[in-house]
Amino acid sequence: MIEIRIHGRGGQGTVIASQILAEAAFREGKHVQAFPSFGSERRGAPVAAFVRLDTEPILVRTEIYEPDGLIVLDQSLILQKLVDVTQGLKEGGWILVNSSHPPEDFAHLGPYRLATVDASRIAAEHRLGSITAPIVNTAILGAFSAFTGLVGLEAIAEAISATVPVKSEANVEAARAAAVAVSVAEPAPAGR
Amino acid sequence: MVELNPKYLEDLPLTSYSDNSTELLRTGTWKYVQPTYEDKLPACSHLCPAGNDISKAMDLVARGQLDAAARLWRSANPLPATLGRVCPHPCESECNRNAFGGAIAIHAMERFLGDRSFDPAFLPERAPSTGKKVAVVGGGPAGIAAAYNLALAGHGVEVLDDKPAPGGYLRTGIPDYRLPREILDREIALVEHAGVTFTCGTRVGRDVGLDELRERFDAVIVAVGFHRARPLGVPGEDHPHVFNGVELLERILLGERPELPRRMAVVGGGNTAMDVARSLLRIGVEPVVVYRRSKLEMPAIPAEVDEAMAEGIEFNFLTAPSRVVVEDGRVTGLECVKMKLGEPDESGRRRPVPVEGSEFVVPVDGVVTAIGESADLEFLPEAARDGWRVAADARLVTPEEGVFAAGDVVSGAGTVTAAVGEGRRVAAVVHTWLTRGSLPDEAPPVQGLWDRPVNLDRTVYVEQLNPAYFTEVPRPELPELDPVERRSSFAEVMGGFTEAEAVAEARRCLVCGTCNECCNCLYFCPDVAIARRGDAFGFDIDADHCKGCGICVEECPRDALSLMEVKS
Amino acid sequence: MRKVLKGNGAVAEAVRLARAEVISAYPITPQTSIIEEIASMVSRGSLEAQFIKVESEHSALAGCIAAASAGARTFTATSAQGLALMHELIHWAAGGRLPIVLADVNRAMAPGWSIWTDQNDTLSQRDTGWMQVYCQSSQEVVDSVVQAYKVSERVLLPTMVVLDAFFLSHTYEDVEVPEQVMVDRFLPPLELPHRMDMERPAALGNLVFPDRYMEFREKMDLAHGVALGVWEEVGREWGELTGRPYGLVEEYRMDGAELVLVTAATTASTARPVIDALREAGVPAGLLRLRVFRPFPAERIRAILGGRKKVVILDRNCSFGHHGIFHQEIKSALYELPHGEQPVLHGIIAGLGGRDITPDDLHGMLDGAWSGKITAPVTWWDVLPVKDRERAAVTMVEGG
Repeated sequence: MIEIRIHGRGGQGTVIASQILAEAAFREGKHVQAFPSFGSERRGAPVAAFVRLDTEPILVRTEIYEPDGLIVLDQSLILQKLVDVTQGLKEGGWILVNSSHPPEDFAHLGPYRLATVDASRIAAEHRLGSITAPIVNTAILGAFSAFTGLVGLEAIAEAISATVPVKSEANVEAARAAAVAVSVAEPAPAGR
Repeated sequence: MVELNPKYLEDLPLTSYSDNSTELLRTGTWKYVQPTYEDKLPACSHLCPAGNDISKAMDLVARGQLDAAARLWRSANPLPATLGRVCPHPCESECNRNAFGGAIAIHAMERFLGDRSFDPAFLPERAPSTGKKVAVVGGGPAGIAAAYNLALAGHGVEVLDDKPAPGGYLRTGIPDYRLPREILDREIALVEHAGVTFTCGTRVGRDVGLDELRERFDAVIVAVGFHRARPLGVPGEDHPHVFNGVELLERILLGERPELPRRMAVVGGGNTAMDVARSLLRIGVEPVVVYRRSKLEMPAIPAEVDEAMAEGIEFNFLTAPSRVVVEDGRVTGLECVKMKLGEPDESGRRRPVPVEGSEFVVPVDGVVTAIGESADLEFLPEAARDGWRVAADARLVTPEEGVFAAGDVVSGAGTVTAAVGEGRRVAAVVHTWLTRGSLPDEAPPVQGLWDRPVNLDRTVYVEQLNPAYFTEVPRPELPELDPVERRSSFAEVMGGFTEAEAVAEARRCLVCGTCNECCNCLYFCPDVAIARRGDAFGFDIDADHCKGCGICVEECPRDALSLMEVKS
Repeated sequence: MRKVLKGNGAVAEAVRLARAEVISAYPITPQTSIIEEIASMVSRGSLEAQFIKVESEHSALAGCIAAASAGARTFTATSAQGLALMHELIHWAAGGRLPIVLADVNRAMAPGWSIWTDQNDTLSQRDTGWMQVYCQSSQEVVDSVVQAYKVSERVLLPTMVVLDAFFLSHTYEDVEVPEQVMVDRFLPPLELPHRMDMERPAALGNLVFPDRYMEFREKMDLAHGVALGVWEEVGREWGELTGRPYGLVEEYRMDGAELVLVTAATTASTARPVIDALREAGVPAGLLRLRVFRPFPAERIRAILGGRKKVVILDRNCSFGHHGIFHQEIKSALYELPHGEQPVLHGIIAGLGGRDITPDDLHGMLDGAWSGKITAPVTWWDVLPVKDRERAAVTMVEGG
């Protein structure tokens, strides 16, 4: 079973990202769970969403405390130390950050497998959201696919088409672009 | 049918359920009071001298049954189109709608229903002939109302009038701008259609004697009205440019345009004074009203006074004439004395008292007197006279057997509306006398003549209504001729309702004291003891199951239900 | 057809499949998305039903009662304070023998204000005559709502289908949504025998004198007894159609189990890998999941638990002053066992107000009971330690 935690801010589409990811994995025949951090959300405040993927039916129905990997939609959560993103992250886990910086810049987070993608730029280029508040949740899933290989890009594209009602084409294109643009830190530390 | 006393649990229904227990439980035996549908007198009808059944007619209009409403209104009142124009509508002053957006325009509704019903098809069916004959002396509103109702009741009725055409003061004293002649003519034509014969140009006492009438007819009704002007009683009154207001008005209204002085004082504060002043204005004379009390005390219909003022007529209040100033054979002014108001007199109005040394002259070229009228009763025997009135008692019966009286000659100068009401009452008395040979203790109140039962002892005021059901809706504006146009024309001043306006206005009516089948009682009855009557109007209360809780009475918006003690 | 749905969406799908005719509901977190989705189905036309918007939960259930009395298949959903507000009519629906189905998203009762899960809202309605089913997955939510209509309409008692706030209501997971044709075959249109009939006017809910009231209540109690069998029969039939059979309770690795965890809802799902792990470590652990709580399958539970060594009963609820509610009920059910067959019971109260019950927690509870670390009949799990019971109990009063 793979457990993923997605960090973002209220309004960035963090929860939707978890749903698309689950939907994509489901389309590849996996059993899935996706849920938000339980409670109320406020625009701009740090939020988290969770995904479980497995080839077997998923029986555990609790929150996720020790994820295998992280997706961070907003690098300021790390840079401003707003959230301890790596809390509980399994040893050798992976982190994908939406950032224009090279992944090596996040090496201070610990011995994890790192990748970055400038999803904000890609989203803006595809006119998703506004330039100041681009909606990056679809783009970063393309990068996630390329980076982790946990879910195929075609499934991600299908899930976006099925889930996102407006500009679904542009969202799919953004995901594809991010899949190409993602940069992975080399050499990768030991891990998945 | 559900088994109420099952032997086994299986036979009990699933849940408490009964298709017959409400009938078995005769909850009606619990009651010590019981609700009864009882229509009461609405405040408007309480004040209507003609006795119009306003709430019922309003309900019919609100339901869109305009013809039925017009038929109802005309069923006993022969002059709705006339009264809808000249009545001072006291009904509106107490209308309970005043508390919720302004009185219902009842006056305009009467006119609307009157104008709708000029076709003989709107007349009630005439009762079979009784073989009795009635003479009505005087073709004014009281006489017409009496004649109309008696004719409909099956009697042969002849109206004798000394003028060339019937109508009395309606024809000779009310100007066209208030009552177009055509309206009056059409209403009188309907009265003729109802079976009344008019014999005009015949003056009782001159052309035919009372005794002769008593011989030829089974009953005689005296309704000659007031038409003799009272003199001013000041020096200079005999000048030819000092006119009798009643006569002058009659000449103008008959179409004469006599040579008149340019500026004339009109003395008086009643309706005749207003009609004279406004008529003079329309034929190019400049009238100046001179009245000894203030505007508040004027006996004229307030709306008439306001309209006259709006037309620019000059008013001198608290001013009493003392002398007609004549110089070189010409009237040059009316000398007056200023008055102040003292203690109330027997009429309840404050008595005017002269202010010493306050004489002044109102510059005019002529004077019209309009300080009141009285009756010409010389044709009656002494015993049947009481000063300027007919000696009639509360039954409207004179000491002369078979001679009855109605209108101004009984009750003093009143409105056309009051005359119509009294005509209806005398007709009821005469009808009883002719058909049963007996006389009532007193003439019935005019509302007592309705063909639906109403508790006349209870008038519905706003306190008796359930305000939860009424929201404020403003009174509509009625069209009115521009005051500047009015100054030079005898065209009718007030406009009337369109059909849609009439229905909308009737829907504003609270239908006080009158069941209009709103069904609130039925909806609220917790015992389902109230049922509609199928095709007939109204509801029935199932006495076996009404437990006398009184919710229906409480929730009736309009006080059309009463709680009565149960008679054991 | 498989779909990714959250628990609330699963409820809505099931209501659509059951062809509910009247939905009367008032929104409350975390139930809101159930009725949003149903309202959307009604407006789109994918569900032909009347959606009645009301001003309170009391009116919501009143709407269902009226419609059900007229013979319509009805649905409502609520949570916590909303269910409490319905309480008067909860009785009315059951006493009226109306087969209403209500989805309750288990949420803790205020105060302190909470939007998170626990079972006190529904268990407070235990004695009203409603049937109650606790679900462990969104799949079970879909399946149970449809089954609830069938059972309710057979025994003429209303059913609450219960799902955990957030752990189910807001969690997306893959669900097999049954085909409409299949559901139609499974669930025939409602024919309410005592529905209002304009041709046969009658009074419903009229006064019943002491000589009959008891009989009506006994009939309800008897119907609950019958319902036990009907739930089993309907769950079996559903299994034949879908491959997903259901029973009154569910046993997991109970063969030879000497240590049994009894619990309900999502926690019972989470517990399975824990049981597996304990078995791997040589502990003879098993799981008994409570599914249908009313009618209470006492006989079944007695048969399963009789002769076991230790039973840990996990309550996400509390009947203040006397144990967790499942604990009470199971203890009373086991009283009839012969002395030697009565297991040692450990009641554990955990997870109130939405506190997560993790696999580590469950492991700790079972291990503690098995190893003898847990000895008390009732344990409040994972709470601040108590220095002085007396003081802890009366601190507030002393402060005043």
